[in-house]
Amino acid sequence: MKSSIVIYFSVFALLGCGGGGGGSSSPAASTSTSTGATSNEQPSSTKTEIASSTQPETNSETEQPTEVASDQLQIDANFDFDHQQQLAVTIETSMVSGSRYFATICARDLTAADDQIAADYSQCLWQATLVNESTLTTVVLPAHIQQLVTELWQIHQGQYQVQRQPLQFYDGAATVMF
Amino acid sequence: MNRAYSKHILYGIGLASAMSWQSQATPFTECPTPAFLVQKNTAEMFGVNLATGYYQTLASNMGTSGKVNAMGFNLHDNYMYGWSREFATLVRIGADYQIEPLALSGNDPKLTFFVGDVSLAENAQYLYQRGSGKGLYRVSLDASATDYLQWQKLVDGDSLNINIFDFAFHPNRHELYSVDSNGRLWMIDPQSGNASQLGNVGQTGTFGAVYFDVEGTLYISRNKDGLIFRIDVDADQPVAELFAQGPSSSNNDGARCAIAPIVEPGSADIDFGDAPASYGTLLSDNGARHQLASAQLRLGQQVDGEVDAKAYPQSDDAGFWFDDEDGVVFISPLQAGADFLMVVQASASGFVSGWFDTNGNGQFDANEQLLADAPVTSGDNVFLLPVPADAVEGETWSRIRFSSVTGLAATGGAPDGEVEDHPIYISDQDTRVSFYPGLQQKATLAFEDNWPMAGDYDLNDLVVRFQSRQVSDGENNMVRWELEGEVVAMGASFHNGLAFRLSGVDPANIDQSLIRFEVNGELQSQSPLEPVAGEAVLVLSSDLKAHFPKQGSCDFFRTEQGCHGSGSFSFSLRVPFKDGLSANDFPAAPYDPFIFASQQSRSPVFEVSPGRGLEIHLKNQQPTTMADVSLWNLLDDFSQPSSGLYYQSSNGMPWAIVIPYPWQHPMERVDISAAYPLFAGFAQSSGAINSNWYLPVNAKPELLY
Repeated sequence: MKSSIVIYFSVFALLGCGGGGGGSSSPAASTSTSTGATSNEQPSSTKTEIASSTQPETNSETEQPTEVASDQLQIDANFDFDHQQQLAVTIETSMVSGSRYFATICARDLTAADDQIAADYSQCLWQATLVNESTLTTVVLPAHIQQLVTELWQIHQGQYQVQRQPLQFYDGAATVMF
Repeated sequence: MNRAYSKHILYGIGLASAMSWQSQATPFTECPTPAFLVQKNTAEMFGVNLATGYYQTLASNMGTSGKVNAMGFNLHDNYMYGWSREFATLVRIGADYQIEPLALSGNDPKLTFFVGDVSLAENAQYLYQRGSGKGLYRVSLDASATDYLQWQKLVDGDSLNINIFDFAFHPNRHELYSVDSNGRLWMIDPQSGNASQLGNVGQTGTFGAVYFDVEGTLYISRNKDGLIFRIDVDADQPVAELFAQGPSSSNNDGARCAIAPIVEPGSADIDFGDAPASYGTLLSDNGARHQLASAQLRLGQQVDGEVDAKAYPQSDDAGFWFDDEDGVVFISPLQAGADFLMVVQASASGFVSGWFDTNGNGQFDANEQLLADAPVTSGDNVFLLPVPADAVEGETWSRIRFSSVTGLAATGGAPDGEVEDHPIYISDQDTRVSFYPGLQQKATLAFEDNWPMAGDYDLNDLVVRFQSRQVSDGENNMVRWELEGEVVAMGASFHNGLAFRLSGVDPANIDQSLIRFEVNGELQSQSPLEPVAGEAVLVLSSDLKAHFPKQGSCDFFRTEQGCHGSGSFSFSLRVPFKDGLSANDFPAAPYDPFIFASQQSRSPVFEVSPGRGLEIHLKNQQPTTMADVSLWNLLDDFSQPSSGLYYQSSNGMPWAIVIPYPWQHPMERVDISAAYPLFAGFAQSSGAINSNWYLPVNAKPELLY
């Protein structure tokens, strides 16, 4: 069983890389296992069965992917075509009385320098006035957003201060502490 | 072209007849929209867009070392005429902006004129200087007339004695208008020489250039600061309204083809806002507008130019897949009595001003300017701004203007920069907002509508762009749900309705009387909430096809090459909730969007349409209780409701998908797998690879609409 699974995925990796659109599957394909882990997650045994049934077809594919018509694809019945995933986010921060706090969760600005943590404000997923030192929320993360940044804004007597942190997520959850 | 005229050529000629005179320069080919402005002691010619004050040099050398004044544009021959100080005579100016001195005959008053214009009703130049022994003069410019280029004195400067620095002929009436240094508006009858005062327009100074446009609106330009005012000369009490900022100069004179509109039709070099018209958006209301000169100051990445504003709900952003209101981001919620954060993304250094209609009266009042001439630099500029404690809760509008000039009002023209109008929501409590798919982003909903028959998988039978927002309070209870979007393609013959279900939400939680639903900008009086117990289904339309009439040879809307089609359907929905609905119990985006059949023909799939009972949902999404369960497993449908499998074919293909991106749909009858080659890998790996398959970089652009 294990070996068949290996073949299943490696063949599709080939298909993915050679696509006519010129785009290779993004490096984050490795993290997209979390993308796949949507609410329709199925027991692995189901997947195995389907993989082995489609094997003969896929094994005959060459390294050059050929166009496959949509009605010829073999797609898991339980696969929902979700292009987003829910993230349960916890924000922990200490609060000073007399200050007001805002928080944002946005895509990371990838045009900024590598060592800079910057938010792409045009792709914010969430913004809030924080009222408690511990805030739980759920955000919906589109599949093409690979990195997130959380900002904490502290407003005090007409002045603002901002802290930024990457928001690491794993298995549908993320925690950030300021 | 430099040309040196020696004086003896002028005076040796006497009466110049049309036959012997050789025109050295060509006239203008048409009636130009810009105003012509001559400035400086060595005359230079500028073109001024009166609507924005933007100006550019047309000629830095006009062939004279002196000033040129008293200019007018002659509709009869498409030349400009003016008075040359160096040559002490009337000059003709062609399209090359070089002066040609003209030899005049008769009694030369030997004056230096700076007030003049060419008549529209007759082919003649009028000149004026105040004072006894001076006055109003006329020189015929009609080469076929016997008095061609002959001096004619009409009235002495004793009887017509006003302190004006230019005048202009009305486009429809043989009348001259000007504003004197005290702000008095004068109308001069050129035949009698009588001057009537029409009132004080409320501005003083030297107005060295005055112009009309085809509507009969008078524009005056003040020398010391270049401010351009417009005046409705026919108003009971005419008032000078600040219109734009143009170039200042100690010496000015202007000419304009008076029958040209103020903005050239078909031009797209002015940026207007798109707030509702009450905010001062349209050109006729002196709406905020900026000249889009090249390499210019910008807000965000996108901008679009237009001839006139498309005020909400006619905003042109609704029909485009990109939105040019992208340079201003509100990164915190707005709340009455509290500060909020706004980021302005500027392309270069300049000044930013902002107005927020916090009292909800549909206008930007003076005390609603929260930002005035704040300096910004290239990049993100963060502002912390206060919302007044008495701000009205609800949706309203804001306007942000960016320019190199200061002192802009909420309306009026600016010579550069950009304006962005943003709808905002002012809350009366602490809130959290979740965006799907993102703050300035749009998602795409795409359907095949032949279910239960498989289609061609072009997934463009219906394509809808949308964004949704969930607003909850400090305790994470739902306050409201917002949805807006538009149909961007319809490659289907069937009549389909469109709805969103909020799964698991009891409609009793919805504050129904406060639902706000707009279609194409019009408030709908009927509630979109479907009256079905226990289900929160919001119907955006019961028949979308009704909004897209077939036009000409195009079968569909935006799916066939070269066929745009006609019609539009944009929607805006605000659903407020009663207390006590936790956001934890609220379904996650993208919710449960679906289409349903209307009564019209569904042939060949069905002889008789199942109507509302036929729903098409995302794959494996359970339908509503209205769905006709006898439709399962017909034709190509492989639904297995007992296993939670719905709306899929035998090979697992869906009839509907949602993509968190402004996805570009395939052309008519092009398989999605062909247009997006990474789709197959994504589908067959259950999303393990190619999760970015839908991005434009991964598409075959020649297969997209």
